[in-house]
Amino acid sequence: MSADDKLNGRGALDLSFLRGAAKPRATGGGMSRRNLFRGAGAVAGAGALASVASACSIQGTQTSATAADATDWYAWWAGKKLNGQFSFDNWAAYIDQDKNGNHPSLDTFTKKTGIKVTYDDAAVTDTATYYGKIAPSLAAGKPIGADLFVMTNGWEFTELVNNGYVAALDNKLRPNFLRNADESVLSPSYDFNSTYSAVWQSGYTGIAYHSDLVDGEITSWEDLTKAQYKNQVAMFGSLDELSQVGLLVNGVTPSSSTKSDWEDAADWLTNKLSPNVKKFYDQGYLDAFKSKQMAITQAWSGDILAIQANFPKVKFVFPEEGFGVWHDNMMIPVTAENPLDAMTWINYYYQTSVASVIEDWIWYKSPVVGVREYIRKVIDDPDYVNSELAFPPSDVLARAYEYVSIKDRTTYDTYTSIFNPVVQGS
Amino acid sequence: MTSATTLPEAAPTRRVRLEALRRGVTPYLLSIAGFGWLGFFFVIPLVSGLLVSLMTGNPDQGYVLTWNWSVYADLFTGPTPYWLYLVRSLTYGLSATAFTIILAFPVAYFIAFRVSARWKTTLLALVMVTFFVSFIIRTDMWFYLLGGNGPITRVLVHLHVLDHGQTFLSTPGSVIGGMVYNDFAFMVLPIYVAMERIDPRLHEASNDLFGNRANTFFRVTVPLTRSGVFSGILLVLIDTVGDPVNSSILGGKETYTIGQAIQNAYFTTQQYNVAAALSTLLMAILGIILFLYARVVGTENIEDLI
Amino acid sequence: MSEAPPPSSSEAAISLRGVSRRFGDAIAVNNLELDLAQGEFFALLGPSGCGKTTTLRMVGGFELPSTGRIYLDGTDVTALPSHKRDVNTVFQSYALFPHLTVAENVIYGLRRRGTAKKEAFTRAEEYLELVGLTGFGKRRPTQLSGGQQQRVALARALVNHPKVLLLDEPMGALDAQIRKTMQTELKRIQREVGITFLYVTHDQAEAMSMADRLAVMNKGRMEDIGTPARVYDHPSTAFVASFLGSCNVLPLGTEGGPTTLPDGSATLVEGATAPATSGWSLGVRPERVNLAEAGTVSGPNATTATITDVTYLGAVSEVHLETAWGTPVQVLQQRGDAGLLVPGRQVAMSWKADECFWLPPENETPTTQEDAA
Repeated sequence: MSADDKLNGRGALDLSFLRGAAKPRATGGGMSRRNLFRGAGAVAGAGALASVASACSIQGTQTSATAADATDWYAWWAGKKLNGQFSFDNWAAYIDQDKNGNHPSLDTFTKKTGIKVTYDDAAVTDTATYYGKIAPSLAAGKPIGADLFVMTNGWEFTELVNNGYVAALDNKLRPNFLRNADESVLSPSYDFNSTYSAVWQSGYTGIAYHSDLVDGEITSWEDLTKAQYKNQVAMFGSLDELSQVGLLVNGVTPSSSTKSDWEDAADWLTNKLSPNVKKFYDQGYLDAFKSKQMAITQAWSGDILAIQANFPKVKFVFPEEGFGVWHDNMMIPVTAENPLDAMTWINYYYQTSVASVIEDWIWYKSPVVGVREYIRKVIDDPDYVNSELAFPPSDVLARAYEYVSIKDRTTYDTYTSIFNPVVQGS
Repeated sequence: MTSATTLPEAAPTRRVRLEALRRGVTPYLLSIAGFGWLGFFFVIPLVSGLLVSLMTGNPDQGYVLTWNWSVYADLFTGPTPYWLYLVRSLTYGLSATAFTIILAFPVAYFIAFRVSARWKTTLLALVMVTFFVSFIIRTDMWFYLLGGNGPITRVLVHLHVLDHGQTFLSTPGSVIGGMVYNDFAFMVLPIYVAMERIDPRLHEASNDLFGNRANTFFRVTVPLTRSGVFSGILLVLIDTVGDPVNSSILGGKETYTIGQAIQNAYFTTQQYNVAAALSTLLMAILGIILFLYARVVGTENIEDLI
Repeated sequence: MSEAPPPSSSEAAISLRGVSRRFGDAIAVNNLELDLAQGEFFALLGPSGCGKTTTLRMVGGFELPSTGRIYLDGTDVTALPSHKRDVNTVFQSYALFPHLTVAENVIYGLRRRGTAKKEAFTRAEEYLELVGLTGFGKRRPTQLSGGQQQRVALARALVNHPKVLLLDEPMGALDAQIRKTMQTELKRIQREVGITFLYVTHDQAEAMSMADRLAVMNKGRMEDIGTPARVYDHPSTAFVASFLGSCNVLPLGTEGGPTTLPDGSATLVEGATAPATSGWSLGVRPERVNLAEAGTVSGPNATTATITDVTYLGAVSEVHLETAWGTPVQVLQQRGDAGLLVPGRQVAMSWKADECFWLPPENETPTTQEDAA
């Protein structure tokens, strides 16, 4: 339902306790994520209403963008100094964690740099809600409490940039990024030259299914429309995840699609796919899938990789028509009180040894080069290193596509008006 | 002499008047806090909700009050079938309310009349213990319980009530069930309180006047519990009709509710005016339903019942 | 001393035979024997906790006796639930149904017994008229005063023509003025409808003014039963004597014979067998004692005492005295002889032989009189 609900399992929630026997790790706790979902929404709503009570209009958010455009970012960064601390809002279970709930990577960072990290792993529960929570403060030019947060590419990402809410990142301050960032994330389609962001993790959206519950093999999105799968399919309610399926099936590249492509895609989704769909998930798709409430689901690669040890019959498919690749990005709000400290962490993270330790816990895809080799040789975790889900072969990777890219409000309104009815149904 | 006698009297008279004024005004002054609370948390959100619904714009350019009443017409004529979500939500809410009454009444009756004082506290605590756990987690628990690997489904599959792979989830039944479960205490507590207030001698009086148990229950206990049932209905109906959580966690593709639509309009399509219009409309409909209900039940003309 | 013998159980409206009620270890009602005649106004009197309300509740069917049988018009109703007993109750707090109108309250019993609605309302109107509430039918109980509510409760019970009407301290919540009026009213209504009333109260004046007969209960036992006059004038125990008004209790048998006062004066009670053992007392009510100049009175039922205090009460004077052996005595003198009633003065006190009574020994016999009144 929400624009970008990668709510469940993007983090290594399931991974953490399923693999717990081999490597004890504290769980992130999916419960708290959902718990927060509601509270955050209420806060955002109350904030908006309160602002109305004061004046009979709601101020637009783009007014501050002009100021941001005029900012001399080199001077901005030159004016900042290290404060020895910063705070970091992230998704649950999205960083390495020991059984005491500590994060070794952050502790090592503090030891080496003297910068203390306040890490909030329950802050981001879904992108739209998180955006709703921080936008009022950002619009008012006030700190949001976090100096660094993780935001998925999508409409909220675009809004953050368009509204001038996030700082452009000075490349002089992140030499490791320039040196070690994977080619695919150096200048992603949604952020030219990674001006405002640095990727934290990437992942793929494909199909997972219980091979013991499904007749035949599933290899494509089109397969999901077969009559025999009626009421057995779960899809994401997130419009970006959903729209790309309709577009890819029609042979359209999502990032360069047009309005008429969208209409065709929505038509396919509504008339072909939807009759087989049991539910569009905002949250909890992985739990439902694990408990076999549906045989087939749209799924994130890392989640399935994590549960395959316990569910050997579960298969993950990179569909023939193509599949989605998404990125969660580190961003620094312009109102951050400790931007230089946060920037220091970004630069620190983009070292192979550091990113590898974190990646071996999360099991998605690191944006840092050499991580696979490092984990193979130094950490020695073949389960992860040899997985095609984490490292698809190049012929498969050739079918990976970015989300539909939307740069302005009018386009977004058109986009939601076309795809939202698919989820809402009738 | 006369002036000397009147003067001392004038002072106490004025003091008495002031005292009378003070006494007359004090209750009003004290009620200001209550009205302030009501105004701040009820009237202002209601009015601002209405105002936002009449604005046009978007979050980037901002919203301006243009008295765009057509937003309400568009709710029913636009492509999104909001009327369907509304009817569905009302159906779910009313069904859930009816089931909660049916389930809560015997429980409240049992605690109020059939249990010693020592056990009352324990049982009431048990009724309320669900509130110690977050609403969403509770709903999630049902997701697990009713899910394919959950104990309930397993037993029912074993008993051949359900086919393998079938669950109660993703159906209107599971959504309503979740609502009933989540709001159960909201119904038990007010009914219990109303029953507690019934003078036990009224039961004896009914027995004394040749009323058997059934007479006593339906002619004394039930009517005297009406205020509690009314409060319970207020709490449960309002909560369930606007609720997006049960339908999104326990529901399926065809259980989309107005609560989800409001959330969607706020977060996904970011049409604050539509979200506000939906909320205002929902509040108005609930208000009318409850007003009519209060009028029907509130009139104390129940001669026909006898 | 002459009074009608109690009705035999076959013709009695209510008969209690060996009825006891235990609550755990406590005995609330102990082996009660009681017969109420048809059409009788019977008062059950006693201090709180004496078991009178429990007795009434057992008759009403709200409590089951632990042992014993209860008969209604000769039929054993011991195990019958209250809604099947032809008995109605006026509750202490009236227990009117707050959600029903006055008329609806009154027809409740009739409707449960199948009387048609229209007829029931007609009868209700009659009985509301009987209790003086004509035209109040459409009101709610909460809109009525305490006295009016009580009348409704009365009408609600009487309209059913029960064999027996039970009244549980019905005046308890009324103020003194209305109480007086209601007592007269109640007596009138009882005479008019001719229904047997079992009236429970702790107010002895109320019981005596209304009842044909009364019983005094203490600690679960019935201590005395009879007409108000008999029980007042010749109570059977010291407890009864003091519960029904003030009473002077003079010790006997400490000197001389079992009927001799401590100063050696002889006592005599007309029509009663003199006690043969020591430990008895002589009871005489304050208004029955005559005071005179010391030395002017002789014979039995006379002794001397010293005035300690005199209170002028208008119609009477209350005189406090102390006997030679130290027992305090209270006397009400109608015609106060100002010269005689002086504190410190020794006077002769005497009483008639038919106005005093023997009181059997009892460990807990109260020695003070006023507080029980």
